[in-house]
Amino acid sequence: MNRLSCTNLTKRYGRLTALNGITLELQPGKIIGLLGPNGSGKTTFIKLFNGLLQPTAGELLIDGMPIGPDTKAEVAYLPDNDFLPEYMTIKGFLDYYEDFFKDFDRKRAEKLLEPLGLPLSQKIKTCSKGTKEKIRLIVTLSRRAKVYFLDEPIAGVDPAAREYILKTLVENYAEDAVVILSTHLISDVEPILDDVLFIKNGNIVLHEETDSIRERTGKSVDELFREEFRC
Amino acid sequence: MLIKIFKYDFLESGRKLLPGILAMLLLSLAQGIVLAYNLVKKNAVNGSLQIIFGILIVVVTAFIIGIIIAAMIIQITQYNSTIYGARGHLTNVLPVNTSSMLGGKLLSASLWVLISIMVSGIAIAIIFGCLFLNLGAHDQEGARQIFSQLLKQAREYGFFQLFAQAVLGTVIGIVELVITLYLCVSLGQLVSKMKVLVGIVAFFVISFIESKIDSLLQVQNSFDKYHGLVEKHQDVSVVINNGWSGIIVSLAFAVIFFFITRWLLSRTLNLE
Amino acid sequence: MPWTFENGIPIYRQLTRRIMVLIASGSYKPGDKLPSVRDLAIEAGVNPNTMQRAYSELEQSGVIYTERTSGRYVTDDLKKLTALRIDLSTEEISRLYSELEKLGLSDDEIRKAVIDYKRN
Repeated sequence: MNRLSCTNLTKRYGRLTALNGITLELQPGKIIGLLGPNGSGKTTFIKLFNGLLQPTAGELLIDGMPIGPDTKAEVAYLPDNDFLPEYMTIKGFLDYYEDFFKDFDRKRAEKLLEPLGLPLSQKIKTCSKGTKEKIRLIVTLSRRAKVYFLDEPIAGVDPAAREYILKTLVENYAEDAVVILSTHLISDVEPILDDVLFIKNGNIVLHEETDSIRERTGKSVDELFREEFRC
Repeated sequence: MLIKIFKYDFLESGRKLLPGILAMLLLSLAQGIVLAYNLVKKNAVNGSLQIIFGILIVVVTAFIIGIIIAAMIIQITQYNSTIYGARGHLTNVLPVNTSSMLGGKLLSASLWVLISIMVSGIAIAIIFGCLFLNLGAHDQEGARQIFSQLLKQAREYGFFQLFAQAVLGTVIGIVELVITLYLCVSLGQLVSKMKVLVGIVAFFVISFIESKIDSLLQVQNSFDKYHGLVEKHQDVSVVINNGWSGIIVSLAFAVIFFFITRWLLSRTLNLE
Repeated sequence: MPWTFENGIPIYRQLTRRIMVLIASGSYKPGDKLPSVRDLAIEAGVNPNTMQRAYSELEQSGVIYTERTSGRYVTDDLKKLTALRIDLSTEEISRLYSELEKLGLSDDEIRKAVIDYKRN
């Protein structure tokens, strides 16, 4: 069974076509880079699979099921913005998250939060921006999900934090899951990617194993990307 | 899942509303004490104090009305921010179907509006209670007698049934109002600019259409129906019978709006 | 700190070589237990699948072996390890030679330069 699949997935906004009839099948157990410049359709793709958008045409399935509460229970999503409820304490938020997501590994989250040195009674609104980013990352990766979507997790983040993010990902994601990591900063993430998808103007123009690309072209994926997307 | 959504939305609104409710109750108590003092001292209060008393009355009245309006505004903004704001990236990925999501929020919001109305009633009761406690024993006895006379008449004329129906009608009316507000927010979110304006216009348009349908069905869905009682001395049972149609129509509108809003949420959601 | 990688070569192959160097240099001694695929992948900052591939290659070359229940170990076979050391050093030497030849040194000049370097 394909973990994630879509057939002719299309999304149009009036005259603008964000996704142009994408057909794809992804198997479990892989970390996949969804690579493309800004505006190429990465976030649209991810939002469609999370039910935050409806397709204009085409079909999309997760574990053979259409997008709905059953797929949402299996999908962990880390968006590029701050979704934390400001008024809750950290403990309050962990309670809330655990209440809705059966696959949330609370002990793991608390263990990952320890080095941050925060009292669980602290209100989220008093946390710094960097701390909030870490909290969002930790709760998302503490879910034992079947699919993880990380939308631009390292954009706008300093190198030390990038290392922390990628290390936390590799250490904590559920191993038989599909991880889809979208970014336009490739050299940092390349070593952890199994496969890459190049997306350009709403089309998938490449879908290949990282090592196969390196072997075939003698280049890194980053170099290939720069060539492919040169203005 | 609906209950979970209800619980968290209820607590979230409570945090915003409870301080206001507490303040209102305290102010009402203060107002009650002040009025009682005024009564006892038989208006032996001079000019400047009267101004303060006057201000206090205005403030308390504003609070009592305001808490109900605040409850409604809080529900509108909470619906908007948790579904369409940054929080939407959390709310809309919860493994909850749209009906439960909408239902839970609707229940929580309706309950808070109802609570705000009841608390306003309690505030008014506090004020009158303070006055009553400070009447002389003779006056208190007089008041008690008038009150028990009224109760007796109410029982005879079937006013209790009328009151019960009115309460039911109010509750359903609140639910209908909230789902209408939700619908207008979601309609406003269909456009990219001037969302608030579109929402407000939608509200007036929907209200207008509703009142037209009401008169078409010859349903009196407001306090007009009680005029018949007073002016034409209609039998209470007639008023009650007419009252049912109003409630049913209200319920029907609520159900229709629920389905439309649910459709909007599942088909047209487009988070930034 | 994650390991750094060169561009044109598949990562799993670079991992294989890196671990071979660690074994040849004695960081992992004969009979030592190697870290699990996951642990080493995390340390190296790579995908566990890629590290798995490197381990498989190492196993095929006979440099490490798998004990079914307890994990992966460096081979005890000293002949294999000596051969490994020779292979790796030959690679380095050929690299040194081709670099110095590019600079225009003859074979004799290269040999002399190496001896002089060590003397000073």
